[in-house]
This record gives sequence, C-alpha cells and structure tokens, in this order.
Amino acid sequence: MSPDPGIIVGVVSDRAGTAVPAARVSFVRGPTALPDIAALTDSRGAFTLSAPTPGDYTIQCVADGYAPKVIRVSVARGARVEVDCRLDS
Amino acid sequence: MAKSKVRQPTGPDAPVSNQPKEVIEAATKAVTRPPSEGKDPKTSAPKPDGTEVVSGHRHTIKPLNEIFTAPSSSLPDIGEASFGPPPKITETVHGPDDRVQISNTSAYPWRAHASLLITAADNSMWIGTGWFIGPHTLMTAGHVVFIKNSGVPGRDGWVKKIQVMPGRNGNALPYGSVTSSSFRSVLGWTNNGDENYDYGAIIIPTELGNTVGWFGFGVWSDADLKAAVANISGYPGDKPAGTQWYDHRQIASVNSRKVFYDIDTAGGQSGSAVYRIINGGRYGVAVHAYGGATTNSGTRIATPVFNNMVAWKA
Repeated sequence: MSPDPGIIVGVVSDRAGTAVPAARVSFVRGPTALPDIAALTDSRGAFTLSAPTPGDYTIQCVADGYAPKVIRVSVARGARVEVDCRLDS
Repeated sequence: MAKSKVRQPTGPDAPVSNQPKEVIEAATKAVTRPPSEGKDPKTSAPKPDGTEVVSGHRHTIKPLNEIFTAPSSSLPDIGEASFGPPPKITETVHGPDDRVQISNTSAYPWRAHASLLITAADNSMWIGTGWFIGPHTLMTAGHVVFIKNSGVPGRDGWVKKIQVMPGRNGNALPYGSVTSSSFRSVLGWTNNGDENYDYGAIIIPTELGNTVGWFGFGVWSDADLKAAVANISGYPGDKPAGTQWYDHRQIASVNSRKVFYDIDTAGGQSGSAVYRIINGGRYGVAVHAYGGATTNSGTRIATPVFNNMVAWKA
C-alpha cells in the first residue's frame, strides 16, 4: 500500500440533489489491484476512498432503487479529487 | 490433516491483536481443522466436480484457454435490440457476470458466510465478508479489521467494531447479528501494509459458530491448488443490499502467498472464503482480498497463515 495515496471524495445524490445515505461505493478498475471492500455513504451521501497509486480509476455508486453509476477519475500522487455521483431512479 | 502442535509464526506473519496479551493467552486451547455443519444444517450436497449446487448457475468448469477464445464475429448481444447497449461491466467481474444469488442462506454452507458492517476508526462505514472457522472466529481480509495507509486523517488502524450477520439475506438475519470489537491480524499487514499478509480474524463474543457451522481450512501444494476448483460466496456491494452471491472457477495461478482466479467478485466481498470442496467438506484455501483487471486474488493459506488460524479459532 502506498504511503502517499490520493483521495477521492464524493457525494452520492439523486437527480434532485437529495443525498443518498448507505449507498455502496467501490472501485471497479484501477492502475493496480484494489481491495474489494465497499464504502457506505453517510447521512450526507458522502464518501472518501483512497487511491493507492497514481492513475485512472473507475468507481461505481450503487443504491437500491437506483441505476448504478460509474465514474472515471484520474488521481495524482497525494492529490484530492472530488466527484459528484448523481443516481437515476 | 494430522494434528500437530502449531508454532506461533514470527516475522511478517507474527500475529497481532487490538486486545491485551493476557486476554488472548487465556483463550488458547486445543482445536481441530475440519469443517462443521452446525446445528440442523439442511446442507445441500455439493457436486462431484467440487462446486456447489446453486439454481441458475450454469457455467461449467473448463480450462481457461477453452473459455477465453476469440469470437468469430463482432455481433452485439441480441438483448441490445430491445434494451440498448448494456452498462459497463465492472472489471472485478471478468467477462459475463457468472454470479448467482443464494436464496437459502439459512442453510449450511451459506450461513457460515457473514455480511460485515464495519465502523472504521474515523466512523466511516464499510461492508465486507467473513467466514466462520470455529465457534467464535471468522476469517476476513486484513484490510477489513485494520486500515492501512488510507491517507484520511483518523482512519488508519484497527477498526472500531464490526457487526457480523451470518447468512444474511437482504433485510433478513436468520441468525441475528453480533458485534465484535476484538480483531486479529499480522505484522506484515499492520506494520508494513504488505498485501501478501492481508488477512485477519474477527473474534465474536458468542459461540454462534456452533449453530451456523464453520469451514475447514488447510495448506495444499502449488500443483494441487492449480488443479482445483475454487468457490467464493460473499456480499458484493453492486447487488441488492445484504444479498449473498456465489461463483466458482478453476484457480488460475498461485504464488507462495497468493491465489489468483477469475471468479467474479465486487467491492464488499473482501474477506470471503476462497474454498474448495473435498469429499463433501468445505475447506478454505485463501482469503479473498483484491480485485484486478484480469484476475482477482486472495491471501493464500500458507503454513504460517494456517498456524495463526489454528491459534485464532481456539
């Protein structure tokens, strides 16, 4: 595991902008093998994932009653990247 | 597997815990390694090919070079004619998604897998999977019990607690849930963050494993593992919340510390048992930990891992 990971910070919400708590957010692709653990969004729909190495990542936001959403981000070493995951019901 | 006195591993496999040493020493006693089906198991017998009988699971065990052959044409799936192109297939799911949902999670072996709700040191919440190896011990990934190099202030270190839900099926908890704050891992993970040592255990304050049963576990040669079919069942986050999903495939490759496979998994399945079926018994061979672009992998149950597991289930 890298001692200087990047950070992906995001919010999962619906199309109206209402936060979606307890959504599952996880990596589906990255520059290296990634832990197969999933974050749960908090009451504000927020999550933070660690990107262990620089590169391109694909994350997936899933919540019951919504279509899954896939987001691609590029993360530099030690960088903080913000994403907005809007789910369609 | 012959019984023998296990030696406590040293070096990167030196066991560590968030519990005081006297608490750990007081719990040690002689244990065995075979599986147990628990009480009133209603066990479904596995197939002779070393896989589980699961309704709807259709792909057969073939050598990898027979599975991955170039198509002779580039026609789209017929489904696109009605429904348009499919959503992007997740990369930890390799090729078509072969996972099938387990509906009878109250029966063995499915009830020996547990959905985990993890509260990290910074109160962030995560999901993972664990599997019983004894009356009060579940195996899981090291990164489930101890977060390393997250880069998030306050998140690293032992997690605060884990809610363990054996045989969970959506909102149904046929064996209830139990919360643990007692964990085990090894220095190779907690000190070094070395993925080759990414394994750990959850000690629960009840003997629930006596009811739900547990998996056996063992150490096998490279040749034996590479000829084996591996099974994985767990709680992926890309499926409806709290549902258990299963897949199997022949092991693709191994090294001294890892097992690699093209078994479909997704985030939330960290910690799942990678297991084989021998004479009808389920035996863990690795702890699923990582999703990769072409293969997924788990921490192999090598001899020092085995010795730690024997100690942790005592």
